[in-house]
Amino acid sequence: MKKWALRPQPEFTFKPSYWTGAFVVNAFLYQVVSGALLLLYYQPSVNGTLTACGQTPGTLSSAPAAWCSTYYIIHSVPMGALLLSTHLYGAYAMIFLMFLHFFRGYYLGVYKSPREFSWMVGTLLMVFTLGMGFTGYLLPYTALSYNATNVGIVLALRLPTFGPLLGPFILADGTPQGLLSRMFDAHVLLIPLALAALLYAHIALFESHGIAPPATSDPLQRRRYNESEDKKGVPFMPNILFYLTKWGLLYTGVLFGIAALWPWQLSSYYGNLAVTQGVTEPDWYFLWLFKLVDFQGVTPVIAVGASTAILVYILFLPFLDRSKRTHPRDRPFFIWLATSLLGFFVLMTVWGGETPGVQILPMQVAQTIAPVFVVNAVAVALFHWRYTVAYRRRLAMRPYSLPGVYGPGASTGTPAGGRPTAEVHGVE
Amino acid sequence: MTGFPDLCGTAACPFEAGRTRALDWPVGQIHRVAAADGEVDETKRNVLKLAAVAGILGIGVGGAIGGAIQYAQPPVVGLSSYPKVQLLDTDGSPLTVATVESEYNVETAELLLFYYPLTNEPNFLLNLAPKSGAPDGTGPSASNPGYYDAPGGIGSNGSIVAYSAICQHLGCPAPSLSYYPPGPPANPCTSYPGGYAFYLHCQCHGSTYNATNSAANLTGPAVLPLPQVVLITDEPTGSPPAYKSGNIYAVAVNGPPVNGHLNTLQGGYGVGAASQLAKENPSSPLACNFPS
Repeated sequence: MKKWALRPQPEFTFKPSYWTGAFVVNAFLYQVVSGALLLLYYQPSVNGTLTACGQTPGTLSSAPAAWCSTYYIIHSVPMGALLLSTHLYGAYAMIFLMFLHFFRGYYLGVYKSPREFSWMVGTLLMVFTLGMGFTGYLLPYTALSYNATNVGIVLALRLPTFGPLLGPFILADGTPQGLLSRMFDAHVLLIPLALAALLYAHIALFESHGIAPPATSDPLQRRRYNESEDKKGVPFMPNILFYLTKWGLLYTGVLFGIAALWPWQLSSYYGNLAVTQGVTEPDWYFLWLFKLVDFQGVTPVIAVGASTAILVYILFLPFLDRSKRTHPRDRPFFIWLATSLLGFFVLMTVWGGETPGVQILPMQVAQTIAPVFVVNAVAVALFHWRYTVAYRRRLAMRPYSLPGVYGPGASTGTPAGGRPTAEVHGVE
Repeated sequence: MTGFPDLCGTAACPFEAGRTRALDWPVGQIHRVAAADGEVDETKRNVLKLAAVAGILGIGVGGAIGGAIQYAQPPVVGLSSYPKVQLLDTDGSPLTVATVESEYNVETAELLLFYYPLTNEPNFLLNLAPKSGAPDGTGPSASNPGYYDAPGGIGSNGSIVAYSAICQHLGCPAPSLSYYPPGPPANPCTSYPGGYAFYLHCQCHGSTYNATNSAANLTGPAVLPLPQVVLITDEPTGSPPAYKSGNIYAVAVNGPPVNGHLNTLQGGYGVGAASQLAKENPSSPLACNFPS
């Protein structure tokens, strides 16, 4: 009989940094549960409804049903405001944890053999998770959510060739109802199904490879755990399950605390011209893209092209970073790119939040963004010189009396990394 | 593999005739066991069967995918031609030139919006002239708003115009796209892009349009002008007709398609016979930090 439990894990993994992926799964499960509950009351329609939303009960609302039912969830459903707020903040948390999981894996080189395919599936999961954020943004049907969704769609429609091809699938018959139906379908059915399928593949691949060992400079370091080692590991049932339950409960508690302290406020619905609406802007995770099109000369093609280039780079990273070493110290170029990417996203997000609607001239763009890459390059170069060169120099001076400890070449007179002694001395 | 029973006699297996020992692989046996007629080429028959099944499956799957693609693209909803729509004031009464010239003027930053020709296509109604005073002929500036007769403008000064309230860059609508009349107190800005005093500015990505010249684009990232709504009244005078008084109607839209629509007439429901104005405050604070 097949066991339903997942693989045991080695003891050294019981630190939060080894479970960032499990935290994302936990956040996803919370989204599924809270989303299923919201679905009991939500109405994906732009027509008026008899649901009471600030009006006398039983009168047909002039507000769209999508907005009206959201209002109803917040004001009339028991614990509705808390549920809706946790669904929104849970989405933010899931995206944040996903980025954390991504950068942790990038820095520690877990995408290297044999985990290349797992990394690629993870990249697709990242795209679909951002897709969940995009499609969910429209559903409350506030003026802000409609207008911001429209910006994203126009960005796609403005692409040559692809735009006109994609248009009918996104816009349906071109009416707001058509768009809402498509976004609703994608948010509650299509993308969750894709996420579940990819998540299954991601976890199955993880089960097959085992946890990535700690990053190391040793290129011959064991890269996977096998069945016999499982016997020494901590079993899933009950230890890992309890461990993850502890983190899951902490997550849910913090989420409810934040949602109770700062419940989400529903702004005016789309189509209500009489109420002053705010400036159109996306949620924080798309602010960098929103800012990117501010730059003078950045057309939708360039903006979408740049995002796609970043995505393709991440997708094929295992085949670009081909060295067998996993330690950040041994991968200065790719660490420089990772830190620059992170700095770029943070900078663009803050910049987008600070100065909405100000066109940025190319010189200012260069003056603001270039330092991120330059400072990172200097920092990585210094770090590389201080730790890698010095580390190899120390290795070269040690007696090779401990075979296997300082690398595979130790017993044959070559220091770790396979560099001949003479060359290392030459560096000195 | 030896010792496998040779189930096929030489007479029943024409393509195996002459063989004295069993095949090394039992799949061949299955063919021969299933053979009902010794004269039939089973291999050819199986290949044909496989081709037929694959073909039917291929047509079925291809048809299903094609059908799904067709199914996912419903006909676009819209109008076949521009309707003549009467504009109504915020209180529901017919909007007249006299009302616009006395109540809505160049000195206020308040936005007047109406939907035309579809219910998801908002437009600005602008009066680019001061409340009182004769034309001074010097043209508009920050210190002297003067009056301006815009192309396509109606009213006694030819200064009443209507433009799409959706930015041509990425579709940010009013009030992200706002109208800024020249000069304080409504507008604290003292310098204008290109020296134009009447402009529309989008707070999403900074595009600016010249309100006095058919909403031509002044600064990017947008490149196209805003679509202009053609206004007429029910009291035309002269030939070609001038519309200096009377009730105001919208009859067409010139310029590029409204952003987010493949065609201004398509992608939404028509507004009907009348469209009511709504007032909205511009987003604050006014943005003065234009690139020069």
